[in-house]
Formats: sequence, structure tokens, C-alpha cells
Amino acid sequence: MIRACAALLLVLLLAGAVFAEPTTRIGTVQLTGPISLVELSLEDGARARILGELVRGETRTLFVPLTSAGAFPEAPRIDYPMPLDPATPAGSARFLGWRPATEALDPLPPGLRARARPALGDPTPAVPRASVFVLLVAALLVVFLRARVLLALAVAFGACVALFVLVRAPGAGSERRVTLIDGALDATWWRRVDAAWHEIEVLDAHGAFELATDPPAARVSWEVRVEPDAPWRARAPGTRLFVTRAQDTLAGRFTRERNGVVDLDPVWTREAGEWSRLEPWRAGAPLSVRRGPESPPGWLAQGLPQGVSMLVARDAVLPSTWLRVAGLP
Amino acid sequence: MTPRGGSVLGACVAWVLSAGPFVLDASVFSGASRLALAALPWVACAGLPTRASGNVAREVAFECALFLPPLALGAALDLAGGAARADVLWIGGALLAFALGLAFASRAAAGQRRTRAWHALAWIVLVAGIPVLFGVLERFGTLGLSGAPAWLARIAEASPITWTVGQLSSSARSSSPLWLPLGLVLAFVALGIAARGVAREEAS
Repeated sequence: MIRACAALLLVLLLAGAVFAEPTTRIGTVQLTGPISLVELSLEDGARARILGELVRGETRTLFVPLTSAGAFPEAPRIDYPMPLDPATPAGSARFLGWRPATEALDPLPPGLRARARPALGDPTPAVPRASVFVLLVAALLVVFLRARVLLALAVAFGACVALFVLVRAPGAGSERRVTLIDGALDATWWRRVDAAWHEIEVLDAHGAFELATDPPAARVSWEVRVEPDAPWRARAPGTRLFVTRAQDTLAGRFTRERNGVVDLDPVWTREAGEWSRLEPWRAGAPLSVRRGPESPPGWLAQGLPQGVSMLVARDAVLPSTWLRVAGLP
Repeated sequence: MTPRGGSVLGACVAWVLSAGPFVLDASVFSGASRLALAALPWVACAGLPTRASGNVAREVAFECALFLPPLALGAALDLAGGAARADVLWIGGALLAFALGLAFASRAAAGQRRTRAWHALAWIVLVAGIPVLFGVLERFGTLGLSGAPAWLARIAEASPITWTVGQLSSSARSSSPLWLPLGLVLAFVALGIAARGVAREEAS
């Protein structure tokens, strides 16, 4: 019985380690030049590289993020090249501690925090089955025609054209980079989610944010530059990355009488439970007229509060930016 | 004159390695350059020292015809995946130049025993040997032992294989200069042209 319980505990612990959501902590590092190629790492493979170089006598204190699904040690391992000659002046990198963990999304209402993240399609185009067939047939013909090389080359060029025609980019709904600004007109704080495949920039690096990945166990590596105010970059090939933060409300800039933000197109509203598509809503103009019944993309219409009017729209200038507003008066 | 049986067989084995990954699930290669992946087996095998020399132009043209479709499919997938057209053209052109240059040099040098030996030595050391040695030493470096010296890294950068491997990751593409491997391939081509000259002189 005890063995069974111990085994179950072990399995649960292992499962916890595999499926644990990663957390991001910000370390403070003091660099003294001459130094370059500094790398911070944790035992589970989490790492952050500091790009750039400090010359002799230059000192800088940097915030460096590390993302790990495991426990954070008191200090990460810090590596940087040391000169072989002891007479050559060497720089140093000193870890000053972790910045106190702030709950980036605490100011947000629970309903808003629980909403689904933006949908990102897989940007990796699939290999059409027909293209594999074309490859095989072309290779067989080229080998068969090897005595008549010009003909073999003509077959190869023909196959190349056919392959370019067969391969298509992933279709609609497979955007690689999406920003969703989400909130209610009566709320003080709104939610901003930046989503991207493979890598994402955190522009306001000193503000509080939450990084999530899909799949959750993805290994994230960070890049930080020594220049002040340079954005951080998180990399995780083959992974969807989501940076969520609380932002100031846009309430007061939206009324039915005036769009106080940017040109919006397309635009949908939900009134009395029914979705409608509207004409494009220009900045400074009153809410545009109804075009007909139509729902917005599924990921934007799911998990919304019931009984309140909704506005869903896309920035006409930056088409990767979506806006979702509850409680349009 | 048709390409020799051994040459055809070797090219077919490299073709299987080049085209094989297209059969696997595309998501496995998320973030990878399919063009560089398809070209790697050809670049690695094109300059392999060969013993007998057939019709050089025919053999190179045959290899080109065999490998162009996998390269085209790789390029089409990279473009569909969002890679910049200029990047794909640049990388594709460089890889084609490497493979064709090395294939020509290998066959042109095969006519004479002396030039064949020089080509084999240069290829084993500069194209294949030093990059492998560098990779092994780098691995030791990550294990806490003394890593590869900087001069070795510089020589390894000149190998077309190293350059091709550096292009495999679309998100963390190597910034090593193209002129180094291109220069090396041109040196191989020059050696091949010189070898053909010597062979013609001796024949006449």
C-alpha cells in the first residue's frame, strides 16, 4: 500500500514537472567591463543571453528574465569568456538577486483574466502529398534519362515549376503575430495580449508581464541587450508565445457617437445576443451602419460575458491588432 | 557517355537523404529552413573524392537535375512559411553554387592520380574534417573542458557544410560570412580546372 502510494506520488510529481506552467522571474545582474557574451542559465536548460559588450571600466545593472517550469535557485549560473592571460584585465558579472515576483495580471478582473488567448495558426506550411509524388517521379525520370542530360534537366525544371504551384501558404486564420486589446468600458484596467510564433519581443521590459507558452513545457531562451531600454526577446522555436499585461483603459475613447482611437475594419457588434457585421468605423466618426448578420472569428466570440453589448474590431492600419470591448453604451 | 553507375548510386543515396524529410510531419521542422535541410546532403556529398572520371559536364548536370526538385520544394516551403524572397534566393543561389562547384571539382580532379590525391586531401581537411573537429571540441567546451580555439573556428567557417548547417535554423541563422566558403569552393574549382589542363596536356 505504502509502495503504491509512493509510486502514485512519484508519478504525480513527474507529471507535475512535465506539465507545469513555466514562470518567468527577473534577475538583477551587475556587469563590469570589459565583458561580453554573458549567459545566465538554470539546471533545467532555461537560459538568457546578454548581447553587447561593455568596455573596460564601464558598469551596468541589467534586469534579465529567465523562464522555467521548475523551482528557481538562489542565483543562476553565469558564464562569460575569461582571458587566458592573467595579466589581461577581466570584467565581472555579479548576480544581485531576483526582483520581487509581481502578479502582472492582478489588477485585471477575474472574467477578463480567464478569457481565451488569441488564436495563432501553425505557420509551418504542410508538404502536399502530391509534391512527394512529383519528387519521386522526377527523380525516377532523371535517373532513367541520365544518358540524355538536357532532357533530364528539362524534366527537373518542369518538376520545380509543379512543386512551386503545389505548395501553398497556410490559409486564413493562421496569423503569426496577433495583439488583442480586451476590456470593458466600465473597467479601470484592460488586458493586452501579444501572441507570436517562435519569438516575441517584450517592449516595455520594466513593466510587469506574464509569459505563457503553448505547449506549456516549451523551453524559452531570452535575449537582453546591454543598451538601456532595448526590448527583451523571448525565443522558443515551434512554440506559441503569449505576453499578457494589464494596460490603461481605453474607456472614454469609445462611444457610439465617436471612435476616439483608430480606423477599424472589419467591425462586429453583439446586441441582444445577435452578432452583426458593420461598415468600417473611421476614427472620429460615429458607429457605422449595420451590414448584416455575421459572427466574428470564433476565438474572438468565445467566453464573452452574456447580457452586455460587445464590439469586436480589427485595426485597419495594423491588421494584426484586434480590439474587443464590452459594454458599449 | 552516361554518368557512371557508382556516381548514380551515390547521388541517389544523397537524394534519399535530401527528399526523405519531406515525407515526415512538417511540424517537426517548425522553425527550420527546408531549403538548407534539402541541400545539406548534396553539399556534403557533391565534393566527395571520386576515383574514375567520366564526362564531367554530364555528371554534374545529372546531379543538378536530380537535386533541383528537392531544393525547389524546400524553397517553396520556406517562402510559404514566411521567409523573405531575397533570403531564399540568396541562400538557394549560394547552396547551388557550393554543390555544383564541389561536384565539378571532384570529377575534374579525378582524371589524374596526383590531382585526385590533392583534391581528396583538401576536401577531407577543409570541407569535412575541420568542421567535424571543431564540432567535437565545441561539444567538449560545453562539457567544461577547453573548447575549440578561435583559429579553428575561423577555418571551420570556410567549409560549405558549416555554412549550410548555419542556415538550418530560420530563427537563429548563423551570421558567418558567405565569402569564406565561396572562396574555398572557387579554389576547389580552380584546382579542378588546373587538373583538367594537366590531363589534356598529358593526353596530347
